[in-house]
Amino acid sequence: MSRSIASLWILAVAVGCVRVESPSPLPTHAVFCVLSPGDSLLVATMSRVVPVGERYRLDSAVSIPNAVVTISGKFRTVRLAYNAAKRRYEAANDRFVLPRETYRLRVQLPNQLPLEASCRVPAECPEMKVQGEKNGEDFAFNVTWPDVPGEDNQYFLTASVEGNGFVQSPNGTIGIVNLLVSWGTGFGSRVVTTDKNQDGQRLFSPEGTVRKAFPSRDSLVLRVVLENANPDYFDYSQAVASQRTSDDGLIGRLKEPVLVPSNVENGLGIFGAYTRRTVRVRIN
Amino acid sequence: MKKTVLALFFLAQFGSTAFAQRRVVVSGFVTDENSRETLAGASVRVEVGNEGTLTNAQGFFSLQLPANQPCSLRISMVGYEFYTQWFAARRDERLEIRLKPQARLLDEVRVTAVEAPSQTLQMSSLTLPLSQLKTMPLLLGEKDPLKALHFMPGVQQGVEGSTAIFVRGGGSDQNLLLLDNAVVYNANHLFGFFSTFNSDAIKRIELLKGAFPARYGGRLSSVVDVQMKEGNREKFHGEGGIGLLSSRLTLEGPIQKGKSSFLVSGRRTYADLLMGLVQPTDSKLLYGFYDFNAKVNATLSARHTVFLSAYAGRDRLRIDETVGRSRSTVSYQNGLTWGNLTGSLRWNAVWGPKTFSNLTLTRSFYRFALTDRYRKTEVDGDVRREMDFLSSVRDWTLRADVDHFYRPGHQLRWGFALTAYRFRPREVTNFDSRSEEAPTSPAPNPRQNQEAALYAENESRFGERWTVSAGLRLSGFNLPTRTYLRPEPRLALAYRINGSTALKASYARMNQYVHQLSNTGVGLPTDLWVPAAVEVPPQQSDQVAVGWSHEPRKGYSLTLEAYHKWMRNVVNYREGANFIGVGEENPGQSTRWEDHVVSGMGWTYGIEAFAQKQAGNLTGWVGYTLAWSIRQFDEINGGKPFYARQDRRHDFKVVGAYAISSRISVSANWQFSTGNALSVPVAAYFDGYASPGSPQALLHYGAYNAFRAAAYHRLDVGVRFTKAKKWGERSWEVSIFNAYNRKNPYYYTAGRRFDETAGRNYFAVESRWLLPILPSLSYNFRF
Repeated sequence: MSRSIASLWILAVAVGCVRVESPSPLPTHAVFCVLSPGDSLLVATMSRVVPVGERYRLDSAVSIPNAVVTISGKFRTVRLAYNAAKRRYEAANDRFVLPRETYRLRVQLPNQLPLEASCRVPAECPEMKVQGEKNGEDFAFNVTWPDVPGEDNQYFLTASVEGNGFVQSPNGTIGIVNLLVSWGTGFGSRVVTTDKNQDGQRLFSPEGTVRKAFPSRDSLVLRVVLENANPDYFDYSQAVASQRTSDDGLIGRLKEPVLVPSNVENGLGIFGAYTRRTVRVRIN
Repeated sequence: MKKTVLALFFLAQFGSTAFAQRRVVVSGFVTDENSRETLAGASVRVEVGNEGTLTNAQGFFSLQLPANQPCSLRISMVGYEFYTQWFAARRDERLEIRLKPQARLLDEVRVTAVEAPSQTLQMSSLTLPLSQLKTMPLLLGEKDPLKALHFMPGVQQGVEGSTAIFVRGGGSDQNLLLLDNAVVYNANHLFGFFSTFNSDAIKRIELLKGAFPARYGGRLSSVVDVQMKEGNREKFHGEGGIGLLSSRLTLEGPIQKGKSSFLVSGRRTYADLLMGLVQPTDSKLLYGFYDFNAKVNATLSARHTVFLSAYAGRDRLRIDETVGRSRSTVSYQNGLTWGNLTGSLRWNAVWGPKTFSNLTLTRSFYRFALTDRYRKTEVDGDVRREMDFLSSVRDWTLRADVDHFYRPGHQLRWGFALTAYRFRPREVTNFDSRSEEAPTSPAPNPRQNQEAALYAENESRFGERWTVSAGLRLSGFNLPTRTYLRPEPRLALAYRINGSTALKASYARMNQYVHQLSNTGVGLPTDLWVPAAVEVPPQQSDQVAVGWSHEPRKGYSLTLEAYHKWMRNVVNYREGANFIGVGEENPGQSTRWEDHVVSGMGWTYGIEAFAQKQAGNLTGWVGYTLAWSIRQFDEINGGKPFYARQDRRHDFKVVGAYAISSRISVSANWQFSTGNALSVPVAAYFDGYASPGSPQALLHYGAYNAFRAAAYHRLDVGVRFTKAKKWGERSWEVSIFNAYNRKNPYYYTAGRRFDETAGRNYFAVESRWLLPILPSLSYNFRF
């Protein structure tokens, strides 16, 4: 009987047990590299991973000159050279990065396993339309673009007013013009959206608004940037932005922790990609 | 094959007594001889043969005995003397059996534990011995029932000092807290340090961790069923106490002797009064709470009794500050109020000797309000900014429960419950006198939902050894766009090996149609209740448990149980979510709560051991739990399983009280628990890509909840001096909370520090603790 009892207990507890993986050993380095066909430079920065409690200097933590950093594409491999002044690895982007192509990053440090990651550059949006008008003292505008079909697309949309800065009003006083753009989803100058359940459809931004200008003006020039980020870079950017808003006060403690994802093997950081489309438009 | 098995089952259920001799029904109530309070869980047994039952929650029992055959009825309950009565009943009989409290325990015991576990079918249940609670040394001398439950196996506490309970690895939102059948949505005072339950007004607290009878539903992990006292029907009686934090007074007595009675009980803190005296008039921080219980009952006839009970409790925090300047005066007024209001109207009816019913109408209301006022008074006018935040949940419930003792050893329970909810999760109003815009006051947009349940459950005894209970609860929940309808099967088995040992097994499926949004699990008033939604569907669990119960000798009991619970659609918050100020401190964040939570899977399993001694000078218990609690969500931790925050591998508790004499008793509690699973940074690195000039520090956590907090352990001790007086009895109690001043972690914080000696930076993870050694003194009286 006692065996039966013991068997029942073991059965009740053990059936369907779920294994929780132990955290992997702490990596020693992180690498950050984001590709874009529109950029003229390929850039990768590095950082040492500093365990809690270890004393460090920021300069030495981000100055890693002894790595061999390469990015491989379909047809060739580019080696990035270390720029000590800027504490980063660089190489010219001579039509090396192309939309819809896959690239592989490799960082070899002495006596270490190489940091490796790959990413695919998303397709470029074929077009983007911005329509706006002066609405009383404010300026209102909308942005629309076609989603690239057949791919998971994540978009960052930003808008800014050209001509912000010091200006002289008609009566001679000098003031600062800092016209901020707000979107219908709330504050902030950036709209984040995806094509989830809208693959291949035309996408619309929430209404953007530029509050009344001082000095009053009849028109303004708006610069709208649409970035199509690959999934890894999108997740990384979102997590970094969310972790940045955490603080050590009461609100910060009541906030759920944010784990920054990484697609880098044997290390931390991100190897991501995006394509960019920019439109300048005057709104009257 | 299935049909054959079913046919055999029903034949066994209903055919076993087909050829039995003529029987008569002996039914009635078991009450306390002094107060005439009904006693739930008393054992009513016939000495010869195997007939026996327990009184139900309202003290009612029904037995079928052979007609004209002499036999003795033996009623027993811990804390009461045996009651024996000889019968040779020729026809059905109605009794009121008054149990006499044991003289030695008369001063202590009001209503205590149920019968020995091996004698009952129910497993995974604990009845908190209120006599033990009265002697337990707890924080600031407050006899808090929920904190006492933390000392039971399978029940975990949240952070230090919190009343929140986590049962068998479930969340703090998965507990159904009932006060006279009315749901208590937020059972905390003083930001979770004390519960809303005033022990003086409570008659019985039962905790169910699994093997849920079909009459219960609506939460995945536990039911905490609290019954208020009914009021002494024989004589006027009072008790109260004066403590460091609050004072309380309870009065009860007959309205019409033997037929009706009342009870009123109040408790109030005086922290706000004391703080008001010592603080300057232009800068005040005032905090206070009160709660009030009232109950009346009346026996209308031998068959009908009605009860009306109510609870009201409220916490209020005010921060007022006035700053005088040369040309203006600025005043700030911030307020935080929260509280519950519950009411319960119950009608007990005895429909003949075999059938008992309960019809209950309850109303529950929880409200949380936050106000923020700014006023600047100047010569040329005032400037005012005001913000009001309101969150509330209200429900009306009508439920009926029928117990039908249709054959000897067979009992059918059935009933229904209908609940109408109104949720107002979040309403914010802003006003700014300088703004040209009208005050933003969103139109009230309450969510109305309905929940319904229908259940039936049959409990049957087969021979000397087997007892089986099989039930089905059919529950449903209505959303504007869809309706959920879900069956919840329940099964419980008990096999009695001998007179003192039993094996038990159970299975229960539960559904939960409401969610509580909480970042902390502390039980803060800011935790919001919301209905299930299409994006966040109802939670569901399946739990199996097996157990062994044994009484080595009278007054001692041992229980061992193993359980495994599978949970679906459990709710967790997205990484980075914060419900305190969605939309305020996180500009651009959606204010829809549905966008901030994710649904996933949960698994909890473990083994619990419980040894209890309920008689003699030394009483108390020892509990140990070995448990795992795991969650998995696609959007968290890269989709990999992780330990839930309340996961504690080992949990050991000892509670003891020793009566040195009739006047002096000493008591102590000690607990040890593995630390919580938390997300705490283990390293930092620097992203210089986005901002090359000043690389941004990023924190690396390793994995979600991969950090283990320091172990929690604490010793509380107390001594009580009791003295009989002409008018009644008084007692002084001295207790010490956290006697060896253990710095148990309250939370962990991570941040960049600078080492002056090395001239370098470093990242530090530091624990903060809250409650040091805290002595307290309280005075209690009874008349």
